[in-house]
Amino acid sequence: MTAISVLVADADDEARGATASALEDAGMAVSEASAVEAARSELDSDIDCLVTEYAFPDGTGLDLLSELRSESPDTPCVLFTDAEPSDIDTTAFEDLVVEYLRKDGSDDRTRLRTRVDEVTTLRTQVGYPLPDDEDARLDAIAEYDVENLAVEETLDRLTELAARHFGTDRAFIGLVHEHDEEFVSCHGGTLAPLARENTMCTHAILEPEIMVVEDTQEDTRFEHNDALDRLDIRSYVGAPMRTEDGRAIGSFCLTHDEPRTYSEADREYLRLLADEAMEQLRLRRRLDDTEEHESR
Amino acid sequence: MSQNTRGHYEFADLPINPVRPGTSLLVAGPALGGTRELALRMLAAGETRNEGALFIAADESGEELLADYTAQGGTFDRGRMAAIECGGPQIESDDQNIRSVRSPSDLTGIGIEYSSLYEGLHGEGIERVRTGVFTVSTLLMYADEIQPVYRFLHTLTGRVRSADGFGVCVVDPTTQDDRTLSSISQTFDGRVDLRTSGDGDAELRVQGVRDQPDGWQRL
Repeated sequence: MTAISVLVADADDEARGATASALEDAGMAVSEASAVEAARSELDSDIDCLVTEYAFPDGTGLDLLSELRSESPDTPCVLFTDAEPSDIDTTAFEDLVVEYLRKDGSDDRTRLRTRVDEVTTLRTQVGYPLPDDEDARLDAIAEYDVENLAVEETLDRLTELAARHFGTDRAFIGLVHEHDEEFVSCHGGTLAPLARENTMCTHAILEPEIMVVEDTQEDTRFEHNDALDRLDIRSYVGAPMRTEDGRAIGSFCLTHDEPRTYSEADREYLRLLADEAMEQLRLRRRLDDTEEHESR
Repeated sequence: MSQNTRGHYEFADLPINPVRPGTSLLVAGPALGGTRELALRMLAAGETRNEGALFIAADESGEELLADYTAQGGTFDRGRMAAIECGGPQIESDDQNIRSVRSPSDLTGIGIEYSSLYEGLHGEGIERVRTGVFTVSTLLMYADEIQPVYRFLHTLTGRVRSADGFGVCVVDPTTQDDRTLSSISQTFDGRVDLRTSGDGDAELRVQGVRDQPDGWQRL
């Protein structure tokens, strides 16, 4: 497993150094920044957690987190600070949600280590519901190296059949990764990967059967989702795609720019398509394994 | 074989078996159907073992919530209990045990106060802490988007889990659609539903946590 990478932002050189050493001692990969501006340039590199002071000469830790979250909404943050809760102005940052730990000179850095470990491994700051079997589910996805399975044309045929049958704007197959959804096949325009908190499949993979959203504007989970507006998504149906062990790695979905309903027969039809897509992935993977085995 | 339940959180005379430390439950029932009272009793049951308690009052003032708590047989012990109210500075009191944030929509602010108070109790040597959120429905109503509410609930249940605490969050199913409710439930270890039977009796049912009575139990 790769080390947890942490960006430590603190204007006080001594405090920052001590924090960085404490986290490095716990096996974490640490980068440092002494100001909001300097930290900004570090945000491009993949960090797993932000540990930041509140007050900087050029802004606040919440300014920094706000920028980080707009690019990478799942990244957790621990506000490790001298500031009292009442000194922290959350007015413009009500939605961020952070861990707060006061620097009190006791065993605070030991507690910080535990906290960083928790927020990263338990994913406690993500903005969507997590399946109970999330870790096993992610392991299952890793076993399907879809890009190298030469299965694209097959999946494209299936999504085209789906779109034609249902007459929807789009039919696609999405894999729900740890932080985003990847669209491995899409009929009706290409879709760039989407942050997991904004995708409907994030919710569909939690369903035992099929998730139907007849009108996104009538569903609390999606009515204020700008990403869906941008993609002209007003209705959705998705069938989870499960491995033999029952792990939902993604879903086979249809979206449309108007509200619409799906009959029992429609749902059964989509279920067949999803099962067929999953079967194709399974067969390709087996083929791939065999070829690899034979070439040894 | 019965589980060893020593160290589990207990619920006095309520028909809920002890739950293991780290458990968070969503308590779902109509606002006027005794749901809030049930959750308060689940918190008050910790007093026999001198447990700590943290209250998040999103839909009324801290003082009002604590009065409700007292009405359910609880005693607000300042040495090991504190509350966060979300009505803004106009109702801010000098009471150090009642912290204020501006609004129920300020999930960042509530989270910061909660972390701070939790650390404070641990610093006092109080290892066992029960948390109550009144109510998730209010948080959902005030939030512009639902994602921050998941973020907040994950943070809260995550803290309860890692600190071996116990959490109870109240939701009114009549103000949310079933899909949203089921999606919110996913953040919790289990769910307690409350209803009134045909005979007018209050009944509860616990789901999702181990070793609980089957089906509806008379309260």
